[in-house]
Amino acid sequence: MPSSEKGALIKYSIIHYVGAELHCATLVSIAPSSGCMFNAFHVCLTGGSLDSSTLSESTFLSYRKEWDDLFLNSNYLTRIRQAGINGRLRSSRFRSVCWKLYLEVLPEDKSQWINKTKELRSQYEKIKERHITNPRKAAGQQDLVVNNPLSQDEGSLWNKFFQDNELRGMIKQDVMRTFPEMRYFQEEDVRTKLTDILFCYARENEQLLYKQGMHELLAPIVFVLHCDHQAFQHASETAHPSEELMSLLNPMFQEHDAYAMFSQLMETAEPWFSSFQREGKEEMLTSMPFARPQDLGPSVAIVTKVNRIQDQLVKKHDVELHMHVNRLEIAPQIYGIRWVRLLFGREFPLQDLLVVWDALFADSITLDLVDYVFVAMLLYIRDALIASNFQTCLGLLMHYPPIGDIHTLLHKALFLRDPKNNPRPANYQFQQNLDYYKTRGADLVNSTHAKTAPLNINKVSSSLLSFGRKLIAPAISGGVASVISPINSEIRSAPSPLTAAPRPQAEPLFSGHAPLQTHSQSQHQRLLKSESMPVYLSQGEVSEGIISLQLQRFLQFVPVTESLSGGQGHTTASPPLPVSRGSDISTLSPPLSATKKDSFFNITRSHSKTMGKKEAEEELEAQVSFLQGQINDLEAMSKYCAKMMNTHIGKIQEVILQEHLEKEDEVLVSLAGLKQIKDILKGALRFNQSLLETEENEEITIADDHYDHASAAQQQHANSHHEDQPYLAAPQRGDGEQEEEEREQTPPEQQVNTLY
Amino acid sequence: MAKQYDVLFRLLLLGDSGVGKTCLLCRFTDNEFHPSHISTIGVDFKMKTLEIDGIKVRIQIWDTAGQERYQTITKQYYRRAQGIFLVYDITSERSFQHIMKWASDVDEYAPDNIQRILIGNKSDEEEKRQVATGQGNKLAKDYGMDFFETSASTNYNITESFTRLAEQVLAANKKDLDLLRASVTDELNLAALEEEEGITDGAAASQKGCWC
Repeated sequence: MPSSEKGALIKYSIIHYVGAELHCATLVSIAPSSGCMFNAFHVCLTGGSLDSSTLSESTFLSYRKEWDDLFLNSNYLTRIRQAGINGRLRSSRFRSVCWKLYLEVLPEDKSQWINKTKELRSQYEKIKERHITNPRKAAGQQDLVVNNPLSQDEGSLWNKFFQDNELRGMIKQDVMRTFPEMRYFQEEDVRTKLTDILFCYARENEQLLYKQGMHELLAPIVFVLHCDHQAFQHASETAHPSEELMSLLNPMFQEHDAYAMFSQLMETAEPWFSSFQREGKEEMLTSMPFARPQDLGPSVAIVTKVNRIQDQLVKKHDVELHMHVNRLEIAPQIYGIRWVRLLFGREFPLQDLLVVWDALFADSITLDLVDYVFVAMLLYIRDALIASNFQTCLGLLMHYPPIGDIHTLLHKALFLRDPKNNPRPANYQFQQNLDYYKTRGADLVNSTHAKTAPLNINKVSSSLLSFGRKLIAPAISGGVASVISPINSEIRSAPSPLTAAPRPQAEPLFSGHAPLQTHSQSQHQRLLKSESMPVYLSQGEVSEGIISLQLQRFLQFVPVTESLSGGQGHTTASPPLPVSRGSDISTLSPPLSATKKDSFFNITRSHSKTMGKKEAEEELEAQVSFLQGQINDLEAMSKYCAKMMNTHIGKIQEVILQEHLEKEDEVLVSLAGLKQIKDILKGALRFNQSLLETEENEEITIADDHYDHASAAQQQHANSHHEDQPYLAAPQRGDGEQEEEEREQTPPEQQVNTLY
Repeated sequence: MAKQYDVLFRLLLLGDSGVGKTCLLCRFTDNEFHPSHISTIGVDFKMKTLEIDGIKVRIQIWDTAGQERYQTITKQYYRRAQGIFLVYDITSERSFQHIMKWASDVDEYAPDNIQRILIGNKSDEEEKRQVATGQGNKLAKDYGMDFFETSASTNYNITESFTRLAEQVLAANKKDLDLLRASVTDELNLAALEEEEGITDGAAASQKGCWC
């Protein structure tokens, strides 16, 4: 957790709570989200739903009820796994019990719970006794020749004492630096517990010992136990709890239980901390022609893991992003080691982190989901990454921006892993993409006012807005609030100083569109937030200078694209890239650029010589990646719209057929028309220009001579959109034959993209 | 957009866990000091621009985890670095002894003309001192490095040591530097130097070069 403080955390939870209330239809599962952050807070919120007069009595009843709901069912384990995966443990008072079950510290058979718990606790008792002994106490039993403080004998208890002190010192150093913003971890007895557990684990696992980061895997476990113990003590003030509850949630054994859970967690996480080098990778690499620096040399498990994620999973799900990070030579271990080792502990605030861990643990003790959360996190910021240079990318990755709705991220991860059995989550990128259109529209206003480019700006902006309205309106009225709500709730929690300053930039665009104002403003706010993300690099010091710099940077991006399309006229619908034919080579052979970067002077010199071409190529590549991303987003959006339309049409049709209306035929014909549109959106029906001509479009006039017939997109909105926005006018990727056609159309640059 | 810098360096902070690498860096880039910092896992990085002899030097400083050694990530950064801080804690004899280990890593993996500087941090904690200033001086001399005792807590010698290393890196690349100076008057050339990895930041420069 970054530098948030107690107050900030509470505020955060409340914001979430408010957000949940406003969008109760979809976000009800996280409603009492404020869980067990701090004792007082915890106590007042866990009982929050109850009438205050009967609070004390009913507290235990509700406590007992929650227990029964979770564990009394015969199929309880499957159910609590599902609860964990779906984020329903956020405010649970038995999260630690669930975790114990996930981590197999408790067996599925409930009758064994008490025994197993006792057994594990006495095991830890023995381990602790064995390792945390005072050699002076036992000194009497050893020969003084062997056992004296100056003895070099391996078996000397004194020698062990010195070694232990060193190990303990190393652990203590990190324990002192654990969650420094939380008072709980500043308490001396908590620190001692953490240190003792880590020390015992290190002594029990001499190969691994203690590695930095383990402390931040342990700390949340200890904290969750603590919260549950608090809740238990509070609830049992008024009633006598069962033996089972008394045993499992006995605060006396917090340390013992934490050790057992941590050890189980480490069973899976151990290789990620190990620096054991697997030899023999060199041989394999000599056969790899494009081996990058990070591929060379013996491999460490964690490095292999994060590279596999980036090179296989990211590539599979987002080629452009994969290309982009590869081209910038951002090795995944730079950011990924921390992500994986700490199970994303530094990337989310603790409340959200615990929800992530609920899902990770519940899903499988093998923590299989980690890879997909990793990818989902990258995809969430992919637009920002693709539009950024090396430094900004690193900034985003190493100081991950605040995420709006953690549940959507988890759903995304599940969907990525198994799209067949998991619903497609509301698409973040889709929303963000709209934002992109808007700023780009806004930027266009600014730049073209100065340059008087041959573009009708009003037309562009109004079509942008009508496009947005068309997209958003059905989503809202159709009750698909889930698409919108995470975004809205995020805006509420967005730091206002960041968004306030630059907003006037875009204001003119939205004025005169009163009905949309609120929404577009909030959209825009969100966008600015994401654009100003690099501001977080400066560690909270929000200076306007940085923001304006960001904006400036962003503004500069537009004239380039504009002159690009302007120069080529509107004759081709895809970005024309004649200059960059040679760049296929540089994209495909990283070693070339890798060697160059060994000396920066070489680079800068050579840069200045070949500057025109090199930079032009890079620029174009970035644009291609960006456009490709937008196309993908549009495509995803179309598919989504088609799917939703299909559902609703189906319902309407069903009702109509039952009603036997007088003008049934007319309605059915209209429905058929809607189905056709759905098929166009879906890509199943080919869109062509004649369709467009027969349609009366009140806001957008189509300049037919600019229209490139062959690269027609399958989607009407997107299409008219393209017309007015040359920089968006790349071919829509489709299925089957259409894709074939496109490839002929597509400039070499983009072919590389799709084939890479 | 006015050019932000003329040259870019990569510097690396190395040393045992807890000697204060992150604190040195925070003090240098943000002028902040947090006595209870979180421990670095893997690597982190920060940027700062200095002006040396009229040249704007952008330094990218990589902050490594004390426990990481070279196996996982740091290795590839050795190869790309122009300068290295070897940091120990004057209150920890052990961290001082380990400097030799770090230095041999540097010898093994870093480029030949890499510049190094020795830092004895936490100089404000005089009462806990275990490593005499003389010891630091001697070790630095043996390795042919400059030596600074610093305190991130009291902001003692921080800017000095960072600037010194940056100067050394500049000097080590004197030949290239002269070429650079020769081109200072040529604005177009300077614009070309603007951004090594330039994508969006370099947009202004590339625009000039190729879209006209």
